[in-house]
Amino acid sequence: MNVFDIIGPVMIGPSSSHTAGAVRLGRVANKLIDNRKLRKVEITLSGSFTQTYKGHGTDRALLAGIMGYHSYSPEIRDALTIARNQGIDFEFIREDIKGAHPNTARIHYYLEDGGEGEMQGASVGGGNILVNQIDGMKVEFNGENNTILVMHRDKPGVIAAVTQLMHWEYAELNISSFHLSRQRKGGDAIMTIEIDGQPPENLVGVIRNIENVSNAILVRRI
Amino acid sequence: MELVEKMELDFLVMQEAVKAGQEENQKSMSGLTGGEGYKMKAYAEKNGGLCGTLLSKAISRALSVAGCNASMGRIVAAPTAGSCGILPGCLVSLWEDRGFDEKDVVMSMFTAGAFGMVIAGRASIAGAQGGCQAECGSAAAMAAAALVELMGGTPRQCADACAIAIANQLGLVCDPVAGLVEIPCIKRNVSGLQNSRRRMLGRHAPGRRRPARFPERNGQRRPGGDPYGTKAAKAGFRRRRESRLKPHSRLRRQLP
Repeated sequence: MNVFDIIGPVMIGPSSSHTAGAVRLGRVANKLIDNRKLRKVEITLSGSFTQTYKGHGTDRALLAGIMGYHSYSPEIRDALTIARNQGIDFEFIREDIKGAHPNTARIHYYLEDGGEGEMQGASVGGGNILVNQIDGMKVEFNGENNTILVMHRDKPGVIAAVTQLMHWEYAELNISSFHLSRQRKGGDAIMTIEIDGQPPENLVGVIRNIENVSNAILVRRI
Repeated sequence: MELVEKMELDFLVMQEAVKAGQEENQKSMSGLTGGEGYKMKAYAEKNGGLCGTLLSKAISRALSVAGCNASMGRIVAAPTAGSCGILPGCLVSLWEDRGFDEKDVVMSMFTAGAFGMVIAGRASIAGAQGGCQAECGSAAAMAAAALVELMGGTPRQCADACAIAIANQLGLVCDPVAGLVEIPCIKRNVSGLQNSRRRMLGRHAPGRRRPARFPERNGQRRPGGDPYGTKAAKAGFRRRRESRLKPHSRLRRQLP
């Protein structure tokens, strides 16, 4: 904790968990979309988000985050209009996601190029977030560090190959957290690797070339 | 110097939030609240009312910032968004109306932040966890410490002011109307502000004052479990009292 966690953050009101946290959740989706053109988003609001989303502007906050705005951007207030002007279709669905944290949102996005994806996360208080699902697979990161997501096949040696590459090619990289989840034995799996410092530009490109790795995404700190 | 610059920026956002919240036709997102800062400012500028210009204007500023927050304006969470009006209400007033140096005000924000860190570390600053006392109570305590420092108080006097302010706001359940941080949160920013300002008046009194610690004695329960560690404090108090009792009276207490 530092003094600016108490005197701060500078944010758009009215609620740190329902507004500022929601923007940060949206920003994770923005990082996943990664500058590609967005066509449509379906946002599922769960728990207390379903009750207070209008009064606390959770809907605008999520959408602003998806469009890349920060939790201190005054544009949040007009996010719905901005999205309409940008030609982005959006829909809010109120549905309780079973077993999820009370402030949970699921963002399903459709891109102009036909691609789509989904992420789910929770606003856990004070503007902090926890992302728990990406494209149907369990992950766990809070966006405070640069995070690399590696989608791969659950085979022996893949983790070693990825971490070894990170060590030999970029000796200054330090892994601060590592999480692995898989759908089933030998099936699709996802590594969540949080790293200290700034990752090199071509890192994910190199990781993608590793055998049994299907995709790698870098989610820069939000 | 980087830290000081960052705090200066926070103070600037506070000043802007005061201005934004004093607009006449301000409305919250839900429409439940709005315009309180404007009304209070108009009242304060007439003749100051019963409280005098300084306090009335400070109230108007606290209302303005809290209203700015409710209408999706930009604020500094201090320590949270729901309690964002108290610190600016106090500090912007001393700076604008009493001519305190901006540098001193910014330094006092570090004091406020440090006390907030102690509260956050040992108890809670989240209303959802510790009730209203955790948000507006903590903000009032932080502001009290900052004000005492600005008035030339010692660190110990700052700590006393902080303790008294927080004790005055213990035990409020966080149960806002429609689940939104508007009613009673916005006006509670005012009680928080007055609470902290009153602490300033007792600054010159000799000796340390003990904060009122044990509201449970009157049979009241406090939300959020025991966030301020009073159960432990109370147990210690009881232990000390027991040890002072004479042996035979201690025995008598054990009789049916």
